[in-house]
Amino acid sequence: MSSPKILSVDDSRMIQALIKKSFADYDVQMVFANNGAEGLDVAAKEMPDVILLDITMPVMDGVECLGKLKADPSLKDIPVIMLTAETGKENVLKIVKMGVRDYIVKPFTEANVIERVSRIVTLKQKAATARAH
Amino acid sequence: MMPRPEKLGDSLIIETINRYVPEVIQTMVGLTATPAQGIENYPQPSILQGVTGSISLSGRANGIVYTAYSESLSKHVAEKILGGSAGDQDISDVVAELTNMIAGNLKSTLCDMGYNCALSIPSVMRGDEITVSAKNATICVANHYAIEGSSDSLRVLVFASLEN
Repeated sequence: MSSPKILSVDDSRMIQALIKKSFADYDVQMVFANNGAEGLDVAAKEMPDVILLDITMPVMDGVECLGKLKADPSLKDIPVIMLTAETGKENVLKIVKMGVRDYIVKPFTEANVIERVSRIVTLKQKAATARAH
Repeated sequence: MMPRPEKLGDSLIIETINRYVPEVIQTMVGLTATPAQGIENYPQPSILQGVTGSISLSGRANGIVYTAYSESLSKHVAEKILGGSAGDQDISDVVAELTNMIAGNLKSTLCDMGYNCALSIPSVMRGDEITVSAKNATICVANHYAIEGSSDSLRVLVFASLEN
């Protein structure tokens, strides 16, 4: 089985650097995009196993990007984890209703990101194994 | 006697930033940030120096959040996060993202209290004399945070008004 591919969509080079560092010791492929519009293009091209998606970004924010991902038949099943500093109930309910798989609250630790992504990648691999039998 | 609403607002904002600023700095930078007492009725316009991040709130809560670092503190924080030398662009990026985290958590607190609002994209200013103010702000608060390993403190200012 090939190593899982993670797409990180964030306009912050700091966050991109921290995500990259978090997975430095793991057998994963990392791809990056700087905003929601770029994220859609990279997702279509790379077909990642999981997308880490920031909310507040220029050009296209994470909520609009999530809506477009879920509306695209070829991309809608890619699990999305939102990264957000906005933990208000209304905000969380909105993104959960839109089909986000999980969310990570900023500030976050490396362990937190690894744990959330690993949970999804493991589930996906288990589902793929079950389908193969 | 009932406290004046703007006083409730001032103390709520100081309490909120005192909860989130140390959490953001500790989690993302790995340094302790110890709050001072906090200042209500902070004068505006105010003069800031160094590297300042800002984010606007708009909606039932309107206003602006500033995070002000000296040049050396911003470099210290950026290099600690990035694990190496940080240029001006790296520093701006780190200050913008930390401001976003602080303002995002403040926004969440306000939204959960019924003051729904949206955040702008963060921006970063540099200079020796940055004059900041917010028109019609009824809440003007600030606090200093002593950052471990630095003789300079981080200053956070919030100018806001809450719609009744």
